[in-house]
Amino acid sequence: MFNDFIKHYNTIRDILRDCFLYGCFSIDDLETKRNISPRKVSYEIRRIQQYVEKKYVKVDMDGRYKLISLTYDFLRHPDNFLVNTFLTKSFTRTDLYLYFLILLYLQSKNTPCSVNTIVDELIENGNLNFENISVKTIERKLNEMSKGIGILSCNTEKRTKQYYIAPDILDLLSCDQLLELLRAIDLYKNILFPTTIGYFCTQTLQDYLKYERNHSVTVNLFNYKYVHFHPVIEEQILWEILKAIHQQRKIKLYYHTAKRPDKNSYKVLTPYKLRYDVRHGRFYLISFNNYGKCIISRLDRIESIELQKESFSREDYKKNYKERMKYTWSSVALADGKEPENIKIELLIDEVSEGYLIEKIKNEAPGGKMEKIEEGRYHYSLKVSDSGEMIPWLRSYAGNIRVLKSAELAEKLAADWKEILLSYGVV
Amino acid sequence: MELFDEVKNRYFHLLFIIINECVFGKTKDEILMIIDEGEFDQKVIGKNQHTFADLVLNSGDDNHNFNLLKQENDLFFPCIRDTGKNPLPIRFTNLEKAWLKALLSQPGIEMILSDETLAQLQTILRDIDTPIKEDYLEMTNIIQLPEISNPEIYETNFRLLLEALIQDKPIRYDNKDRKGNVHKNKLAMPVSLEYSIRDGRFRISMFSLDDNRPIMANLFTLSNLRIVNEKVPIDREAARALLFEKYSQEPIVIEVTDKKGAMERSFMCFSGMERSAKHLGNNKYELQLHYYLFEEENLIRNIISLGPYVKVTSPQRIADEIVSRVKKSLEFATR
Repeated sequence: MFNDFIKHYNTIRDILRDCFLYGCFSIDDLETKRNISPRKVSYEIRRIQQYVEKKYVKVDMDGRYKLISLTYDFLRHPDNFLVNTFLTKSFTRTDLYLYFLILLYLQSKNTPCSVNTIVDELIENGNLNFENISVKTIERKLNEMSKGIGILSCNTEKRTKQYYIAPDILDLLSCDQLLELLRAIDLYKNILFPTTIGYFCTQTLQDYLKYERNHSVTVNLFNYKYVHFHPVIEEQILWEILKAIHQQRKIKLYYHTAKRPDKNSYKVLTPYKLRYDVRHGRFYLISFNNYGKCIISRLDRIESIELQKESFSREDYKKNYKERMKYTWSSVALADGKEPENIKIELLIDEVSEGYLIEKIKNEAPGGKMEKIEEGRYHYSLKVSDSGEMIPWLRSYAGNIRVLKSAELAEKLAADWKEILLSYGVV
Repeated sequence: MELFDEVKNRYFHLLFIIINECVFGKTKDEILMIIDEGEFDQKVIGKNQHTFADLVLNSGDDNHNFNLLKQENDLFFPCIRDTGKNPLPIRFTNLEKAWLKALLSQPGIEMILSDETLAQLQTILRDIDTPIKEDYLEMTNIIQLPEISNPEIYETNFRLLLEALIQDKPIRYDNKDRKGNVHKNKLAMPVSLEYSIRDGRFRISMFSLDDNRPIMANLFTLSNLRIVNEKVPIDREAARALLFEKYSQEPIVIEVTDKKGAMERSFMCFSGMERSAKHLGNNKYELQLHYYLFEEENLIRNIISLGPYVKVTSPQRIADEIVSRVKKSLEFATR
């Protein structure tokens, strides 16, 4: 009933990601990048500016072009403001009216009520106009509120469904216990995926404390390191995949590549596991096609998921997953017929000031073997599916590390060093 | 229930608040104030040009008004009331119960929830089926720290520090630093418990009243920790504000050439920092990063890790540091 809201989260997903991650694109740039009309880009940017609190929206000018970016500082703002973009699903007046009217009515009753009782009394009291809303619509809403949302419960007596407000599961908990729970939710709401639901829980419990226990409270006890906000943009897809994995059902996955963001293709896959790269804040789906081939898909490139009727057994894929991913650094599976690569790196440190690097390396690249060769010189050996994945990590130890094995990896790294120096005009 | 659902629309929540607040009657102005606080900065306007406030207060046409409040004299009340209860119930949704069930099996949950609360919640949620399971989602690029040798100390310290934060009180403690030196009977104001998603550890961020500076400490190296009732010149909010002062005076400016996904990797890597970006043309982008001084070493490592298509253009001091490390690496590689 209001144009500012959207029916599908996908409507804003790509542009929200572009604004948040990059923030350097004008409307014209986004139009070219996403191959969509400037009008659509303008609409979505306007929506995003509505949804996100003003303090996080920054408008810069690049010549005559306006650049919208979303920015924050992890220490000052531990709450993920992008979650607000999930509070925007469109609704009709009937949706809203029936939802609240049913709740008001059932809350005022102490006994379960059938749909006919509800309708009759609401009409009698002048709350419902039968010409505008049918019994079927009310029945559908009651079903949605009990089965889908869970705010109502339903019993069947003599083949008639009786609806009532769902039992209060927090009733027996004391105020102190509820505060404990609120703190726990507050901490894990940025850690336990899908984090959006954690934020929903915080709001519900705060409302409960306020209206049922007369206790207004906000929690501000925790901070986070390495928590990215942008993965929340993919959480609707994440939730669909989690449900498919849990129900052991195959999915039809609509996907686009980095080179053709506007062109989707689809595959029917067996979703096995999700992987989350903590460093970059990226989700990957590890699935298998009908020939048993391991397929890796980035969630930010998945357009949508359709649950298929065909089911599978997770147990059948356990071994295959382990073989493919055991030595995987982040997301690259071991290629068909290939063996994991044996890597050996040499670590050169000042034992007094840099001694901590020995443990740091062992912790960041677990499963390897560290050998002390002499004072300040160590060798670390480990296996990886694809050594290309560990190059960024190796580069982060610039000045302390060199690759002894494989020669190919050593060459790649040396080439990087030369190119970096070249970019600074040093060689 | 879907994750993106209309019942979680911000305006549904706003209406929920209004109806519950109206239990004893609210004036039009009081309701308008609630709407003003809760709605978007730019008011939403329906197809018939009515605002949300018009529809809540039934001042539009009758077919479009929400009719969930009724006016009696100057006050508005819920259209169904006098039940001795709040007009609207508050319940966790199925989606939220699934998440809460997963919450109860998270590592460390027993440090926040008491045994009794945890047991009660486990009973309450025992029949809930959740798709949020550890087996379905694996974290990568994490740091696997060795197990804590004395988890009891870690847990006891966590609970004590949490209590100090809740009570907004200072602490005294002994601490053993990385070099093995023991610092006795130190006084500090805890600021927050910091959780690292990469290594799964909590650390305590606090303001040292002895050294007059913000510090970070591992929980398991603290001993003889206790909450004290001493009068200190600073509260938690003031201590937090001092932490924010540790901000760089000038940003690090980097130039990213969008080759081999360097742009995407760079922007993702720095997404948690206050930043601004510019398209320079020719496939190049400029990124200005504002950072905390205690993060500088991490930042330098991150920039180098992004490879040859990311270059620091300012400050020169950081660029020189990067060049020096890379030169050393190249010498080391070609030895």
